[in-house]
Amino acid sequence: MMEQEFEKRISDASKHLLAATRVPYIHYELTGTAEERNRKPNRVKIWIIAVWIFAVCALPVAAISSYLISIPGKGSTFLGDDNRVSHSIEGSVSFEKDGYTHQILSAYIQDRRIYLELFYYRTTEGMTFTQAGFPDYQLYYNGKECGDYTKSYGGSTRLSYRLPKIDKKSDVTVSLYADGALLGDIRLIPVYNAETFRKDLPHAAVNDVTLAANVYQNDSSMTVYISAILPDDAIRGSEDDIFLIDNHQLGFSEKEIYMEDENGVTYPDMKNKYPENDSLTIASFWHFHSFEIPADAEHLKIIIPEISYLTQEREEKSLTGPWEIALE
Amino acid sequence: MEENSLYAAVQQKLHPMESRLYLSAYCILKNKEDAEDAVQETVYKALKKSGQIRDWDSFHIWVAKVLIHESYKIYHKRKRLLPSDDVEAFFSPTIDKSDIEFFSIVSDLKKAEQTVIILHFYHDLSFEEISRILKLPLSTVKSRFYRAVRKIKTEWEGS
Repeated sequence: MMEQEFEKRISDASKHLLAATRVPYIHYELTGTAEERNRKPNRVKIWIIAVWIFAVCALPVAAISSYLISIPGKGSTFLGDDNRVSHSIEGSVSFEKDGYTHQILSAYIQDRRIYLELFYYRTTEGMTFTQAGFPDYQLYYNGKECGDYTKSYGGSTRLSYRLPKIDKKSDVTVSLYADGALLGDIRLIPVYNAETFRKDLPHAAVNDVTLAANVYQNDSSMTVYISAILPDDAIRGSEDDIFLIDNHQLGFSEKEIYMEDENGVTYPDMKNKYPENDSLTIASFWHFHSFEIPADAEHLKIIIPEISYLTQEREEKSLTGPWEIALE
Repeated sequence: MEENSLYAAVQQKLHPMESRLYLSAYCILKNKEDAEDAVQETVYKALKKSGQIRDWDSFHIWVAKVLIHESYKIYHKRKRLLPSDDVEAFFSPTIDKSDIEFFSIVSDLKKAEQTVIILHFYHDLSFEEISRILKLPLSTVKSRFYRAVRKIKTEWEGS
């Protein structure tokens, strides 16, 4: 009885709070592109997806596989309890045109949509100094322009286009254009499980956590992108997310990362070198780290003493390593 | 339903929920700007997915789920960057100090417990509905709820 009375007290306080909340003006509009705003819902497609989702949900729990989806350059895993991601790039792809670099950080195909995330920056300034604007991108597949969606967040540009029917077992090659000029082709390969991740990238495993590194060398500067395969209790993707990469960005963080050469000389992460740079602050959430390495340094290792990740209960869990990723 | 009618229907459903959404986001994020972002992103997703809504009776449950998800996304992205607000300034001046204390206690709860309290008291959702949203067994939801209530009781009565 006492507990019920106290719950009533909580309930009353909640009502008072709701009544006293001063709600700001809320915009009831979509902020996507004009095409996106004007597009009619594809009822047939939605119906098919709904049936498909129902069919998956209706399966006994034991029958749902927990695929480890490996996306090179992105490293996301546990994206869902199904294998909807069918293709991914093998590694980072970069195009340079007219003094600007278009660096594809991740590209994957899910449910016949292709999702790309890229940095667009002046080549001489490097990846960390991303531009506020971005060109008008177009994507072509089999000589036809794909529809229809563009969205940009912070320092990176994110694109998504519909694709026609594709063969899930074959490579898919698309052509990326910027402002009508061809940048180049992007090849995406079928992805199935974490084996590609473990096979193709330098990585280290401690207990249930595998960390891998994509390394981009630019003269003495080395940019490292850390990916992870996390334990079973790690937070998974949500069907509400438009871009799967969000879960990867938020799902784990590596701490106190540094590099070491064969003589034991250590090189600190330089991302704090430019504390006023907003793009860099954003990029720090994306597992990018910068190191300045002398040309004669050999047998380098990336050392990650500790990581933390979010569990499905949204608790932060810390694990100590170290994870020592040898770069050969 | 035509697109404009869909948007109008979503707006009609969301409008009475605005204070619930904003209060919940603020409880998680403790920052007005972040809370506004979470609510705005929730509205965006509701409008974007309006063509897929079949069960309007459960719309408020789905929106609450999206709001919680968006709030935690922002929380984990920005928690190191932004200081907390002055909580009293968030509410109208008529609010009782005891209610503010309650809000602060909930705001400082462990996230797993806080979510259950927010969904139950700010969104009027049943344990079964919370269980569906969080994809947790009903027993887990209940145990989190009663644990959280005990913590609130201890702190609130001790303050």
